[in-house]
Amino acid sequence: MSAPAPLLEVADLATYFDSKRGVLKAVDGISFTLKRGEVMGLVGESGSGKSVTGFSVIGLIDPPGRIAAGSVKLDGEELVGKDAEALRTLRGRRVAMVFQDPMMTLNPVLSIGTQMRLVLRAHEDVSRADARRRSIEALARVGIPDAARRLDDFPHQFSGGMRQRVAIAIALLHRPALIIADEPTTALDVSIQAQILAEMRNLVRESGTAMIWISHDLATVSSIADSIAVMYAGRIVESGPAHEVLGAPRHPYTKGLLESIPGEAPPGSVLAQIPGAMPSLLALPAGCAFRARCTYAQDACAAMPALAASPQGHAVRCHFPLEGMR
Amino acid sequence: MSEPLLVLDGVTKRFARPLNTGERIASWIGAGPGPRVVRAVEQVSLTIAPHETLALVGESGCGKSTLGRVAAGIYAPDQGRVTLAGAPVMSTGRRPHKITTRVQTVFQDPFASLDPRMRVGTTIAEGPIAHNLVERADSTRYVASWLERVGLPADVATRFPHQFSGGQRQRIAIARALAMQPDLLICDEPVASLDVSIQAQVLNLLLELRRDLGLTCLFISHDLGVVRHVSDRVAIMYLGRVVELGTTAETFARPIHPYTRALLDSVPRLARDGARGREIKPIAGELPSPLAPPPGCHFNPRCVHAIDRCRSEAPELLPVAGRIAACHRAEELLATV
Ligand SMILES: Nc1ncnc2c1ncn2[C@@H]1O[C@H](COP(=O)(O)OP(=O)(O)OP(=O)(O)O)[C@@H](O)[C@H]1O
Ligand SMILES: Nc1ncnc2c1ncn2[C@@H]1O[C@H](COP(=O)(O)OP(=O)(O)OP(=O)(O)O)[C@@H](O)[C@H]1O
Ligand SMILES: [Mg+2]
Ligand SMILES: [Mg+2]
Repeated sequence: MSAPAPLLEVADLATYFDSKRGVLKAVDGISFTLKRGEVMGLVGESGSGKSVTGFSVIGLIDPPGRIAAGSVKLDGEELVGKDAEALRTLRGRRVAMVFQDPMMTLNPVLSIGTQMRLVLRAHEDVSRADARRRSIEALARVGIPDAARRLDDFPHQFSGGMRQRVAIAIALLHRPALIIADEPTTALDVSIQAQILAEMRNLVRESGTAMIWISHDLATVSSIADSIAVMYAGRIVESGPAHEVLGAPRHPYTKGLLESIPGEAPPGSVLAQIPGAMPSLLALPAGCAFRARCTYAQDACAAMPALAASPQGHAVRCHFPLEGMR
Repeated sequence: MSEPLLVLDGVTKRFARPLNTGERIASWIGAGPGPRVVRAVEQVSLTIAPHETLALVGESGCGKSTLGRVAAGIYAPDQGRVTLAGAPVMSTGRRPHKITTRVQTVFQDPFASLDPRMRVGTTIAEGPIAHNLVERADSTRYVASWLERVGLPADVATRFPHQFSGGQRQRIAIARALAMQPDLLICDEPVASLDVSIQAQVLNLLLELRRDLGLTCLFISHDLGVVRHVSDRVAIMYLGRVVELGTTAETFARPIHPYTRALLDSVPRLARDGARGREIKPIAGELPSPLAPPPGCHFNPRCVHAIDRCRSEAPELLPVAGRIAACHRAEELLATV
């Protein structure tokens, strides 16, 4: 029996932004696959290219940005190069996105019920009554109390956490095969963050939806992701099953990130810290982009290391990967 | 135990919320508007011993920053007193103002807290010159020594804030606060806007400075991992009140108040074994509006242990097994941990 084809296959994807100061290589040759129902955590520090990766996958890159190379296949169908209309159809139906700010999804001047009906009718022929019924179901599923009554409310009548729930309900309306969630809980308060995290985890489990969960918060990612990809300066430097990447990190950057999180070190002790900051994407050094901050760097690191994977699918882009860091 | 450095005694701070359009119309036609007073901080008493770090934690809007600002002499409390080493932090009278330089504050957003039009050196030197901590003629050297202390080169002084990254700006903000030679440093979410790798750099700097300079700190954060790492004691706030206060180690190991327990259970922790986290247990419901907090214990609508008494009578902050918590059922619940 051959393994089922992956739901999403991203290969050598590169997304550049042209500017007066040069070409900004926001995403520079990344590859990953996602199985049906799999949750992949995409982590990395600010500016590492996480959001641009998400936008590239669903074809939301506008000039001065461009997909410079690579391929994105959903169910075997190539998306790079498709026209805007085809991509729009795809976005509503098979792929949905949830943003940090729910107002990227919601229209402030329409009631929630109207917005949900419009989203449903954009891709399906549904009656008003059916639209209403499905909207109420969707809102109830994401934990909005008294959903039937709240259909007539406008976005500003909901709290921040409730607004994010509505955005999630809208993303789930067409039962997409893939959800891209870009820091969906970052702007929310701790207790609401936990509620939404738990709810999204259950929703994707129940519906078998695959998800890319973008976050800079490794603790959150560890509680939802099956697999993890770590980005640094536009490239994936490490990826694999979550327990492998978190439990036995092989890239010095991943190890540094994990050790710099307070919580594991004894209280009051000096935290392990990664010196320096990420280099500008306009002027990346040749070779490994992390080498200026890396305590393990050697002369060989001036040449770009290849991404090498273990049989378990734990891949690392480093000339001197770490062993058995457990 | 030594005399406390900072004493907050029965501090209350309320804000009048301006009417919105709907409410203005309602008041014209005679329908009285709803409650308009936000009780940001209610009857809070705390002390901080010299060289101690006390953390304030709690959900957004529970009054952490407001309490920090009252302690810093930025807001005058409506009731209660704030003293530093026995002396009031603010003047009394019709227009109270801060009368000490011995409390300084570092805020979350180093982008907003530094004047973009002012050179870094000028920003740092301004306060110390005005308060005669340094002669103008010596200020360049003085500024350079503080920049060095926070790990920045002296030539930073001649540049403007926008030329620096978030982590560097936070170092500049710390240098500016420390150049006033405070006894008490109030840090309001000092690392919340920074990336993990930079966050560790800034936390290490704060820990080192605190030790070397013998600083006392009030540390405000919603990040329980950070709080656990830096603080000696922790005060948990809920809707303007302190609900539990104790040493950080004990509070994290054996929380007393149901809110503290729920808060600790709801936070995702890094699960490196890929056990997909302990199942996080979110706190049910949302924070009630601070305009109309529920009667009795403010936490009662979300509390799984609430009984009738909790809905009518506000619990006081009382000693429980050598610690303090504001819960009618504290003794009972403690026996079940
Ligand atoms: N529309 C755009 N035009 C020009 N540059 C852009 C654009 N969008 C993103 N970039 C640049 O691409 C790089 C990657 O940005 P991206 O938003 O993907 O980072 P991120 O990893 O999502 O960071 P964060 O954690 O801050 O959200 C950054 O240097 C950013 O400035
Ligand atoms: N200047 C102000 N005017 C009116 N209301 C205010 C003012 N400052 C704070 N509040 C209100 O007082 C309450 C407490 O706010 P505060 O900023 O102290 O909370 P916080 O615990 O610091 O929250 P966060 O974690 O979001 O920073 C909130 O309801 C807030 O809306
Ligand atoms: Mg982003
Ligand atoms: Mg605050």
